[in-house]
Amino acid sequence: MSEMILKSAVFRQEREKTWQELDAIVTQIEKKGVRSLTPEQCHRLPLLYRATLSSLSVARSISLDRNVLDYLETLSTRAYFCVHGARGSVLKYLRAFLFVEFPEAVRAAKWHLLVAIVLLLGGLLAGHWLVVANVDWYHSIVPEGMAGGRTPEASAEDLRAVLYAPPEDGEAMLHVFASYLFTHNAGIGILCFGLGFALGIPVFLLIFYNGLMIGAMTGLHATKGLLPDFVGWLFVHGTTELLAVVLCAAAGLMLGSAVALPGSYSRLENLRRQGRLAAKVVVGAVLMFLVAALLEGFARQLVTDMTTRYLIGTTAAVLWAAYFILAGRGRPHG
Amino acid sequence: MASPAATTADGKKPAERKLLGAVQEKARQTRLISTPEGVQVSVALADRGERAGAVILDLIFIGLALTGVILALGGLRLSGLMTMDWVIALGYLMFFLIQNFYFLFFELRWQGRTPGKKIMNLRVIDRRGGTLSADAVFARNLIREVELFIPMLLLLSGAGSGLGAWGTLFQWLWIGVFLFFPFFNRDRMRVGDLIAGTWVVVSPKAALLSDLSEEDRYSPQTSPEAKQRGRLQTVPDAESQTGPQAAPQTVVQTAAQTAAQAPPEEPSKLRFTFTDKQLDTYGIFELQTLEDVLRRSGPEAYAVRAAVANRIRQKIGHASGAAPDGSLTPGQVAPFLDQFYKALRQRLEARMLLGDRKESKYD
Repeated sequence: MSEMILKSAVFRQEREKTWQELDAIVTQIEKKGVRSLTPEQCHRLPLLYRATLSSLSVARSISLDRNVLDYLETLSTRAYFCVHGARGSVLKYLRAFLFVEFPEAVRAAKWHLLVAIVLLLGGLLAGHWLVVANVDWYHSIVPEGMAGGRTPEASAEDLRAVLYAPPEDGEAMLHVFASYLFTHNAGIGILCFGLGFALGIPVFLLIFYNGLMIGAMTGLHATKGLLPDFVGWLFVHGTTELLAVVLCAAAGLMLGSAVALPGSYSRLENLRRQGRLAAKVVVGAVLMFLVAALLEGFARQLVTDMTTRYLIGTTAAVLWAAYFILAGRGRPHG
Repeated sequence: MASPAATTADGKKPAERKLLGAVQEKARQTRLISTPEGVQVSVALADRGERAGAVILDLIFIGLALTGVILALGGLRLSGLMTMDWVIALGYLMFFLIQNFYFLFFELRWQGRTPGKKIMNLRVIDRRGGTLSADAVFARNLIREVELFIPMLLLLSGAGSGLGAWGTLFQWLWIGVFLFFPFFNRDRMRVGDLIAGTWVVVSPKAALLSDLSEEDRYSPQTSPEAKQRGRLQTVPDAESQTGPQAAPQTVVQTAAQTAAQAPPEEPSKLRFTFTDKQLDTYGIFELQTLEDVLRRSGPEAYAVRAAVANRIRQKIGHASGAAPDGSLTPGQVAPFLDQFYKALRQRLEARMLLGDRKESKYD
């Protein structure tokens, strides 16, 4: 029955070997990872992949054997994941992230960052002014638990003691403190990003309230004549930590504005672009929280000289500014 | 014998709608991504249930990991290898890392798969094709805090306790929006997928079965694919009595099946010819449905094939039935279907090559 031989069956017979070879390699990658391939297999993979893709194109136009079509379709998709799914080494990515992608994302978020900074400073000034004008405001702004004994009722001496307290229990607890600070702050930063999805409104409130609390504390210390000492105490880690806070807030605002104002792209496309940029900002900010926690947990507790505290904080601020403004400019992507 | 016109006349509208429905359903579940090579490949979106299953598995793994950390740190403390302060410091850090970076780590490391997804056979891909970038993984997982962990905490702690009416409303709104988000878009995206530009798809898997048009399907070969062929001969014992003699060398390869008694030389004797007009009754959809029927295995497979064969014979008006009432005898069913499949495929493929795709019998 020679007239019953189908072109599509002949096509299949000729190409089947290629598909099966690719299938074997792809199955191996799926089970044991790319590293398990021999150099020979690595060499064959792209060739087999392209041959199978071309088989798929041909099969779509000449064959009605659904099993072959489905098989080629899934094999091509699987091979596609293997060929285009693999990423470079983690170390390489980390370098690209730190030196190009993170500062770039921060620069892309500059307007949101500005809004976040203005909000934080606005809250700070409002809190400071309110408490200086009437110290009773302090209790309505700063919750009892956060105050840690720093209340209007405390004497200037007590407040000073907190600012220059030698590490409790010697130096043993510093790492506990640092680890707690990092996880707590980074958790809030990540939360801030997610909250941005609700049109950014919770982020506005959160960042403003954060400013308000710090302002209330500066106000309190100002009334006791301890303003420079308190700012110095805050400065050691504050420049890094507050920068990370406003970065997370900026990321949240970015997300919120992408939901609310899609701009020239479709809302879906805009969310995708802004969401990814914002996520990079948050991951970078989490690393900054780590630095801030180390500064807060160790440097602030060990360094009790006011001038040195200002020096550390200012140096950190200048370095961050230089990093965000200069790093990764004019480099090709990827 | 009912006339073909009568069977189509009253069944047409709903049947056509059903066919269209099946095609649309498939289109709803699959998406095309363009490879850099210029060929589009299709992916099947994961089911919401499968995704829920994967996330529950992952949460279980997270729970196990946290328990492991507690046990390990507790062990280190009790054995005196570590002081309490280090246990606390490490505990904070490990809990934070596991909660926030479990998904992130695995999706980066395993190209869009977490242990739960791997078990459920799912993976994350970029909606536009190409490598799943790290920032997409960051975006879709950093949002889990508000999307998954906080609603979970709210639900576990009894949402709405001591928050007042507005607080309670807000909580439920929050839980509802994030939890039901995948139900309100065609792509079944959760909020994290939305902002990351990703899809969760089924890791495709399909085996290459034997070509149904192959000549030697009836001779039991020892080729590697022979395992998949046995199902065609599965004729229940009672039926095979009326058919031609069972040949001893016929092997049944389908695992659960025991009866396969069509003799190897018999089908080649039976020849059915089909005219173009008869073949043009059906389209691609029917051809591929027939392929499913032919590949079918199980106890009822023969009965289905017999019914389908007689239905086709009636519809195309093929005078080949050897049974008294004009229908096909059990021995005729398999060869008739095989040859009809082959002839129909040849006809439709030839038409397709000339740019004429007949999608279904309604086309």
